Amino acid sequence: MKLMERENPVEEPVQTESCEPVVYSASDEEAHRNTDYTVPSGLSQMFTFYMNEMYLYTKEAGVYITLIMAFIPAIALYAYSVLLTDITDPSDYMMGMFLALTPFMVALIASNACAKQVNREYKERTAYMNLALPISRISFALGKFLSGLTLCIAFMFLAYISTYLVATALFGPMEGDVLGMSLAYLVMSCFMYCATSFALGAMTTRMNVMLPFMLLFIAIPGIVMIANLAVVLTGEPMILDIISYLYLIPTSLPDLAVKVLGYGSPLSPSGLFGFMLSGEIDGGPVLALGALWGIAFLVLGILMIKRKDL
Amino acid sequence: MTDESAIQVSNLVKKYGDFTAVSDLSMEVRKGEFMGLLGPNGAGKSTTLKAITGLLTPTSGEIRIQGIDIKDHRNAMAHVGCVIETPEPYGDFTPLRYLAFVGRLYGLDKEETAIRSRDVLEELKMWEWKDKKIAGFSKGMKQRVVISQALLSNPQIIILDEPTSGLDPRGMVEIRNILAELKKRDRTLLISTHILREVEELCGSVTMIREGTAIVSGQVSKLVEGLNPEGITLEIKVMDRLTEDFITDLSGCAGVTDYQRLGDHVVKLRFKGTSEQQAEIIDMAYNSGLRLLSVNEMGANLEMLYMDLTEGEGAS
Repeated sequence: MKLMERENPVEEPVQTESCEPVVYSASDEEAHRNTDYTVPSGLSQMFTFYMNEMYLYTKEAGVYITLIMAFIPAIALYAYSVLLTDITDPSDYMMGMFLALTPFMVALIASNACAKQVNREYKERTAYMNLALPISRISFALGKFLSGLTLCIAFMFLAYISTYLVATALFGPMEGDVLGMSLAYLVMSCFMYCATSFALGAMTTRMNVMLPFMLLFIAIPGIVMIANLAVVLTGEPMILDIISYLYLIPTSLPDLAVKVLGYGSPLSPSGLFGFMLSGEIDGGPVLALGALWGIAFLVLGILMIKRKDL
Repeated sequence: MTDESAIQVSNLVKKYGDFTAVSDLSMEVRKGEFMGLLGPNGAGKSTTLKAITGLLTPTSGEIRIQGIDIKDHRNAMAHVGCVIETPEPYGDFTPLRYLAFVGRLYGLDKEETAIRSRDVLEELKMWEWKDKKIAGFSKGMKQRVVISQALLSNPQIIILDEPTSGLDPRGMVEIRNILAELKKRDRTLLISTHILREVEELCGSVTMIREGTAIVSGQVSKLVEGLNPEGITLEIKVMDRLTEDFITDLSGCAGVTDYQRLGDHVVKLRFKGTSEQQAEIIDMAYNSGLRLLSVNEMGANLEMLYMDLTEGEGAS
């Protein structure tokens, strides 16, 4: 073989994934020695998959477009303040108004970031290589999920922080800890929506990003709305008691993130009709249920990946 | 299972609903052994390899790699490099980035990864493409990248499912040469292929699968020998006219049981002996002064064994 015939060791920089090039200076004998290595921990491998997935996101034009779109609420708020100079509403209300699309954005980004991650690996046959490496499938699954979650949270934070900065600059500081509460709802909604999208993506064979979007943004809120409508129409107290539990379904978390800012009509099916958010909702249980829901779907997704036969 | 066992498959069963893809298959690949896995399409070769590499979970049975149960996938596959079912590397990656990613998962440090990446990419004639996006590669080039990741960690065990698929004839020869080189380095190879020549050239032993069950397993030479109870025929062709002395000398060689002269330039010998004895006959013909043109060995070979054992199968 050519390598065995090479007489002089080669010494030239080799491009690696680190910033610093590593100098290649091995003779043929050295190159063909037994390679000593220890397979890294599951955590380390998870980080490798995480970074790998983040790198793959950087190759998607849609990610950049989405990140640019994150600044639209802030820009719109600024334009609104320029056009209408006699605004008297407080900054948190104005921020909420221009982040009214939060439920839609969370559902859309979580679905896009997390629903196709695993399916893409199967469809493009990269899984045949990755899953045969000395790895745990849990590391593989968690690395992918966390990258999707990071993307979703990063986008929403960009939207929130930019809008917050414009709102406070134009309309004064916010009172109390509404931003903190809103961010708590937001992070939990990202986690819950991403976990659900991830699990649905792992369960289905097609790269269907619309399925989790339809389920989380339309179907479940739709059921709650219809149930509320039934209550309104019948006025039956017993039904009212049962239906009140539907308020706790954590698909409303992004709606609550907007509502806690003082703006009660987020641009979502439930928000638009005003049924679900007409009364006071205790956020604590919804947050807890959101966490449980997210963990349950995440575990489900990981189990699906663990059991998947290629 | 012995300490010398590299891959041990015991009573492997894989069912998909009512369909049984692999039925009670047992096989062993010993350390340093090169084994070919043969069988017609749908026989269960790929399913077996997928089960061995943990890509699918067996319905029942046990698989151990260097004594470690494949259920402990991370440790069992630590010193295994494999290519199963024409996988694809990430199209957005360059070969170098892809190998860096694989190296990190194996736990190779950066310098080691750099050295090994260069080595395997040079061996597979892909070094000049190291910074190009894989998405733009041909099927054969992708296959080379895939094989390079299997060899990156210098693994003790290599498992390949039709590794030369998609390669041009030169590529096939290059891969075979690389694999032959691994034999010298005491590596273990389990290879599934339809190209029997690959198996004949590379593998000392073979396991044949039919309908999900191992029907034959053993050393290639012994299996072929079993098909040749009467021995093989050696056809010797010379440039000059055959002499009686030459034929008498040949017929008196150890292992020659019969002979037949065909015209003035060809003689056929019925031979049943060792490889050394066969070499002595060829030496004698070469040194006879009759200007040797060719020596052809005729008799059963791996292809005949394969055809015999898979008789009645459809596409193979």
